[in-house]
Amino acid sequence: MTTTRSSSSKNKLNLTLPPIEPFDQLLDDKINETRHVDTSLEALRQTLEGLDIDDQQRKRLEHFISQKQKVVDLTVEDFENLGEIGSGNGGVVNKVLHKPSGLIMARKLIHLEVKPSIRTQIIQELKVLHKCNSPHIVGFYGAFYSDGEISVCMEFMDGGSFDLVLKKAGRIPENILGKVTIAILKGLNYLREKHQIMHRDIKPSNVLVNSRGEIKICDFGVSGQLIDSMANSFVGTRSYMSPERLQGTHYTVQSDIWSLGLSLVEMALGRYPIPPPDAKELSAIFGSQYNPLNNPQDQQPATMSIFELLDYIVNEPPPTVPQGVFSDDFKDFVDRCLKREPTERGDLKTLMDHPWIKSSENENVDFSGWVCQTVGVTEPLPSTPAE
Amino acid sequence: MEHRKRLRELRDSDNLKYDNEYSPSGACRLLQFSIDLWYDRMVRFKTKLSSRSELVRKEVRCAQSVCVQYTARQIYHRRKVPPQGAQDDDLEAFPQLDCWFRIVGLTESSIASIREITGDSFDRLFQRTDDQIKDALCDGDAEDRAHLVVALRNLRKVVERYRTTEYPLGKFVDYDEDLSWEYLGKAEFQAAQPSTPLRQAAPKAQKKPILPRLTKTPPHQRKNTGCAENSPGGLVAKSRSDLSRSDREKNVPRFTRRRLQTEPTPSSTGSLSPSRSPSFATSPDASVDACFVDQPEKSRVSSNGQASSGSNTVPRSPRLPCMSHAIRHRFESGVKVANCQQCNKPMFFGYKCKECKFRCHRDCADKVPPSCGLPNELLDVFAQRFQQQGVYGGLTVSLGSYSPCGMPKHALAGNLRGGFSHHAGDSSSTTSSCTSSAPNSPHFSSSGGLSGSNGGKKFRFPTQEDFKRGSKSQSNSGDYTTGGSKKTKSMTDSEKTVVSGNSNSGSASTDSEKTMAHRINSQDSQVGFQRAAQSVLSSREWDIPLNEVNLEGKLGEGQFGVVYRGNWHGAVAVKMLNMESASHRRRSEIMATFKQEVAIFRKTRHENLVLFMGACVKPPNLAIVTSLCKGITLYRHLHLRGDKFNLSKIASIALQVCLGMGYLHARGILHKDLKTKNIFYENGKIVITDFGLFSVVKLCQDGRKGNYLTIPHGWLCYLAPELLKDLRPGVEHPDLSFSTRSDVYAFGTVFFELLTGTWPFRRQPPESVIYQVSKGIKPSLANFQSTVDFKEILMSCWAFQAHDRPDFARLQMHLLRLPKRKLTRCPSQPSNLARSTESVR
Repeated sequence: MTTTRSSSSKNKLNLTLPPIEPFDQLLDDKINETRHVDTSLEALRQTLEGLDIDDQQRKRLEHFISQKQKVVDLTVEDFENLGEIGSGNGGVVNKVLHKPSGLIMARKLIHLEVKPSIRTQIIQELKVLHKCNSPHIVGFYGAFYSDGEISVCMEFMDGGSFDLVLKKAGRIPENILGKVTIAILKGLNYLREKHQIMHRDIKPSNVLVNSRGEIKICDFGVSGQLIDSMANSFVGTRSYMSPERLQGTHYTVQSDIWSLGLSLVEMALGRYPIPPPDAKELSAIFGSQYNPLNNPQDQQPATMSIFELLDYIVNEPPPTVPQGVFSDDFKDFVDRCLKREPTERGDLKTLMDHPWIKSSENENVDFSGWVCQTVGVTEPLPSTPAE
Repeated sequence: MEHRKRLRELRDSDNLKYDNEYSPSGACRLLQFSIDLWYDRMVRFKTKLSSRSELVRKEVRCAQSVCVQYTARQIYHRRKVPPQGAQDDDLEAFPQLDCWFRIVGLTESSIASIREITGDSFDRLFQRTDDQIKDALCDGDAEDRAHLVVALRNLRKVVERYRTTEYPLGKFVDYDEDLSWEYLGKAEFQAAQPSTPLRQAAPKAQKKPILPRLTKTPPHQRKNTGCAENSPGGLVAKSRSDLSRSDREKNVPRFTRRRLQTEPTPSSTGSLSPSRSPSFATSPDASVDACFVDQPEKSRVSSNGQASSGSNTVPRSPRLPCMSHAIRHRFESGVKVANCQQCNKPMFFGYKCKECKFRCHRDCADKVPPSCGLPNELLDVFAQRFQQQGVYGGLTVSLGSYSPCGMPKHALAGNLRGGFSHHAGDSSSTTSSCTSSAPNSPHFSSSGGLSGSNGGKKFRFPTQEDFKRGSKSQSNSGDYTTGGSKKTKSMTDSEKTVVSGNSNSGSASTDSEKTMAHRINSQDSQVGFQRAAQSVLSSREWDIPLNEVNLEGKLGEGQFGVVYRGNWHGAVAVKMLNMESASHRRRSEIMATFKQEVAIFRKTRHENLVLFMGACVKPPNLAIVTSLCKGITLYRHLHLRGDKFNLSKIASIALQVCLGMGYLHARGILHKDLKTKNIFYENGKIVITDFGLFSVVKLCQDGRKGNYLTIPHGWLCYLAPELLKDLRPGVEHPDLSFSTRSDVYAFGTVFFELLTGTWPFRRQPPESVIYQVSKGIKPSLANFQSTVDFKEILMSCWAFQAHDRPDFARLQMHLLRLPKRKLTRCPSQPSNLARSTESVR
């Protein structure tokens, strides 16, 4: 019943429509499917274009990506366990060797008993990590599911996480902290600008270093489904959560800034800053540098229940570093991060321009040397990988 | 046939898009293909198959509806292009007038008559009023007239809808909407509202918006109907929970089949499968019905008012579409009949012991041995005497069971521990049969041959005459002894059983227990006394040797250990706790606590509580045997299956939980772990499990790291503020201060889940939950669909101060007082007979 009509041409310029694009290829259903991301070096160079990184960092990133090419598939049998690195919320992290490619990786195992559809969703969400390429973000090789556990394979950082470093170092000097802060800020900036995600869990144990002197953040909340599906949550003696998040109200990337500030104070003091140390304790920590008269502190009970801790965070004055021991710029920086009101807090942009950051950027610090010395790395990684 | 080929080509080439993704004229052309196909189909049905068949008629009507919708879409696309400006000539050709006439089924003469007023333009036809059309066809066929009028009306309606509300994206039309004009029966000639559902649904049901169903995918459709069921004043439709799972699963493939009907195949409807045809019903029951249409064996009661069509569609009851197969009625007995505890026959008049409330016929009183249970004060007395005179100092003791119900364990234990410090393990009932745990009936042991040989040395009760009268005898309930042997009534026999039971109970009785048993063995049968200490119980009453239990399969894993299905004189559930992870020094503590808990369980007997059948204490395994709960947990219903209960069902569930919990509290037992994972639901009945095990479980688990507190999913939201405030990591086993009011708080959360289907504070991290609840901040009730009464109940259960929360007895009252939903009545029944109990807010 089609009608035929003579079409009077109104297309005087002979314009044509572009051909109809086929549908996007449907996402694969297979759980352990290798990535579809185009990993040719050229394409990656393009993504790296937009990043504010120097040549050395770019070379390292490219090297990483080319190494990643070797990893075609990730299956359980390909891994050889070389030892446990640590354990955190919900999972154990092991140092492993990926036999087919010969790469050393860190493999995080998360025990999850969920339906296959949820599993697939988690793996899909984790695949976003492939696109996170930055010198300040831990590299990602892939994720897969096997036998009740989800494995996330990441770049191995031989310096370990900062909370272990802190334990070994006691407390961390200000110039080192400067470098760390710059890295974290840049990492957060990258996540926010390129991927529009927050970290949600900044704390010393999620900041990794290696003997090359690279500082990277990991464990950010990329998969909402994963967070939802974790059977157990862990609440500890310390919480890095911002007041607005504790109160259940709306929160943004400012929440990460609070966590950053709190982590800095902890690393500077050498102990979790809530409840704040009293004068006696500070004298003990800092010795002669610390003058009790400058800093009236409160007495606080030693053991707090979880609620008391959280209540302190929300309602009591935020922790800070003592004056005189650290530079005024540092104290100001930290104070800006630790405002209870998120709007009063400095945001990423203003903090990047803070005088403390500026001065830290210019400072020359042998970061890799410090790491090796503190952590006790016997075989430091080569500074710039061979092409 | 070329259009079909074309369509197939398009489809195969993967270039097929939804019509709104094409240019308007492209879209119209695409739609025209579909219209042509459907027209072909309709013609085939009309001509080749007998139109007497109901199925055929249905198909025809479906085809008509679809054509109307497609035509409306063409009009929509057409109108997207502004009238002036570069107009595609092709576009003007749509919708095609001839095609429309043919679809409506007008005769040649009618077409000619109509053409007089419309010419070649569809628009002009569209803009004609009904009267004008009727006039134009006044001397034509009445049928044709009616058809055209109705068809145009429907078309206008759809077009209007597309214009004002959202245009349904996607190429799928709504098959359930009836936009046809033939075979409507009376409607045909009345040109009645074509969109009336052919079934008499309750008026309110029509308010249910049709549009969402056009756009949403099947799972959403299901949800929609679920919501509609909940709307007050809607049909008393069955809740989703009543659907058997298989039916719901069938629901999905059904809808997918429907989608494929855009390219109809001729033979598809050969079989008498009513599922293929649209249901033409807009009542919320539609999809609910639909899923049962496939199952003729479950088809309903006779059909209701489908008068107008005169068809005998698959009979469905509009009120209770899916009732007959899934819900069984559960009749609770409302008559209270007491049973004589001596002869176990019903009694209406009789004796009742003042002390222990033992009931028996007058005649039976004589036969009852002196075994009265003592209230607290008397217990003290007994204790003192016991201490003074010693057990075997010739004192024949006939001591019934211990406390009347409701006495908190610790009080009693406190009473008695002083007296009986080392007589752990005991023979509480020397007669096997006396382990009745009927509420209010204490245990008793009969001192078997006591009644005979009791002679002079009776226990000196303050009120001795009572004692004579009210002594207990054996009851014959309970299967708690080892071996489950049949209880006999004769004393000596039962003693023998007990004696043998002693030797059977070989499991981990403590030394003192064994000594006691030994002593009893050597003891004269005259002496049978009952351990009044509640804290330590004779194991033989509940002890079950593990080898007697047949473990059949794993049911699941919980916090404590594995739960197996098993068989021990019937289907049972066996919960195995493993002590291996606990350190050795803890084990004795665990064992003691375990026994304490078990001792408490055997007191419980309520229809809303799981029946405790026994336990096995064989380190490192501790096992608890309960009857097997059929059905699934409320957690599964609400969270995993997404079932929604209507308000009256929620009230009934809540009430049953309150009854069970109230009973527990009256017995002095705290649940400590009330949550939907511990509440089984089957056919309207609630069974609560896992009460009181919490402390044992916590002891078994050692903290993995001192710095962390492991918080399992869905635990925090049940904890009352006073408990949350006490949580601290690093302390291995915090002794949280549970109380009856904390159980009420947990009940509040269960109530919340019933009403919303989710946990409160669902997506928030645990620290956040701890902070907010401990501060008294409650989750928002913005999306609550309930009446004020429910909210009030919820808020009172969640009150910040423990003493502000009601106890379960009060809650029961509140729940009973909730106004019941108005019963939907047949419209012919006058609705102005307002009754107070049926008021709906």
